[in-house]
Amino acid sequence: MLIFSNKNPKLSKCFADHREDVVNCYGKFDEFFKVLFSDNADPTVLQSIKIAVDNCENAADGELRHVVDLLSDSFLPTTRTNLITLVQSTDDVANLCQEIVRHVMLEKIAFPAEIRADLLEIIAITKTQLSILYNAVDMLINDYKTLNNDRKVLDDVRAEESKVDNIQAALHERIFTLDISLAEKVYYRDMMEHICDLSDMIEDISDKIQIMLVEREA
Amino acid sequence: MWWLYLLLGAGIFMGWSLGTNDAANAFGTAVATGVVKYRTAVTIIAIMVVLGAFLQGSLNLESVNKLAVTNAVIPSEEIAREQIAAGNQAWIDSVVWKSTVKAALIFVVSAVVVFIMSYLKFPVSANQSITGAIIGWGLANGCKMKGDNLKQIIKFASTWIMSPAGAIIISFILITITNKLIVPKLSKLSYYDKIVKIGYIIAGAYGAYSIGRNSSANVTSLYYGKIIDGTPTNLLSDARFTATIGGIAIAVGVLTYSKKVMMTVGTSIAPLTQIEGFVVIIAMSLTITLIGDLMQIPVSTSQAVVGAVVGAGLTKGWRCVNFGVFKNIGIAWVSSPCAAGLVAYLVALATKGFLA
Repeated sequence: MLIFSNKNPKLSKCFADHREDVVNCYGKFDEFFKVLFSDNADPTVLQSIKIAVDNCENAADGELRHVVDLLSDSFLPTTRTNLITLVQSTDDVANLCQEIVRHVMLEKIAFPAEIRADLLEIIAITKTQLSILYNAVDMLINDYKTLNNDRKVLDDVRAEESKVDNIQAALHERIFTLDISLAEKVYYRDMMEHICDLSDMIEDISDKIQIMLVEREA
Repeated sequence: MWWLYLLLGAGIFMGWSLGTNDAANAFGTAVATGVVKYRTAVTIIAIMVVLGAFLQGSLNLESVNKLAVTNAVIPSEEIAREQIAAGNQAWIDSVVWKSTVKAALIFVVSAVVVFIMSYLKFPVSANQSITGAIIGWGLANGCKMKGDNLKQIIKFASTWIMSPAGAIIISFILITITNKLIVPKLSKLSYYDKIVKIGYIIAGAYGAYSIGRNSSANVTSLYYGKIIDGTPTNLLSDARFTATIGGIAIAVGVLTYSKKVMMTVGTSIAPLTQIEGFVVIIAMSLTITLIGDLMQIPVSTSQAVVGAVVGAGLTKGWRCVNFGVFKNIGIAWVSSPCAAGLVAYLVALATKGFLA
């Protein structure tokens, strides 16, 4: 039982490490697209960033397993389930980052110049959204009272997702006005949707946090 | 007459059945939600029930015996003194075995009624069934509902209202205080978890203690009688030993057959928050202890826990309370003693020839 053991500091560290790995993974993902969309993108630089994304994602997976191990026989079952759900869901963000980067590299995708700025904006908004989400997670674990009294931080996560939605809709429309084949249009639309899925996933996690708050209130 | 001790089995069976049902109230929520492991819960319950019975279980012996006296189940101390002083050998020879057989019949009747009603999914109270069976026995033996007997019956019946009503008030106060003073301070998830876990263990242990204190005498009291001038007037003559046997019987019930009931009790209280879950158990235990101290009578633990849940619901407003639970209390209030009383009445009539 956690209350009688010294697992708590280890668990806190694992949580922090996992968070760092996910944030780093997203940071590298962001960097990858900045380099990709820059003039004369260097394939070796892209490859090294891809490897960095892989490493961060692998490290996050390792921490996830560590967290699950430490959580066994610790905390109340409902808290345990909630914490695992949170870590797993944020881990999914890193997984998707890795998957998108891998696709881009394997398929050597050259995004049309007309959509690059919007994609970078979506990625930047999602980065802010991820940071807000982690604030909410911190508050859930360490400052429940403030989070429960003022759920603005969760609204902020949703607000960021809403911004992404708006850009996504406009971009979707723009892709289909480009002078490229229908297959290419569908292909770029799908890639854009993958990138936007990150924001949706983060919003889903904030919804889960809200459910956890409601459950504790009963 | 060693074989008379075999008849203790009826009381032990009643205690066992009480252990499988009522004792689940102490840890039902904690076990059903996985806060406390079933094995840990039953171990704590078994220890605390026996402790409650050993230390304070005998407090309720006198009151149950008074009801048994006014209902012709056991002789009064005055009659026993008179008969023993007069050297009435026939009376002295028969008093122990008659009292023991009557006690056994009443416990068998109560246990069978509780079993059948539970099987038919009727809400039932083991404590009330025993009371009903004692009164039914008295009616068959010509004990009128007046004078001392009526006073005793009213005293017992009053706890059937006081128990749920007291639990509602105590629970309402405790939950309000907890939600205002303690819950807001539990901002860190790890503290919250610790409080919930420790709270459930303390509440469960206290609940089990109060059940041992409250109910142990109820399942063995009819076997108890004082030794007067060296003559035993019933099978058991040590109050503490009598109550402890009851406690052990309840503990065996908990250890052998309480899991299913524990899960049912737990899920029925699930709409409460985790903090409220254990405060409700504390409220139930406090109610049992306070009313027990005030009236010196075993009270219905099932009704106390229902009252405590209602009290918790009331802190959130009238609309949050399912007042349908009072229908169940009402049914148990009437059906448990009436059914046990009716069967005991018939058994008493059938055995009147050699037990009167």
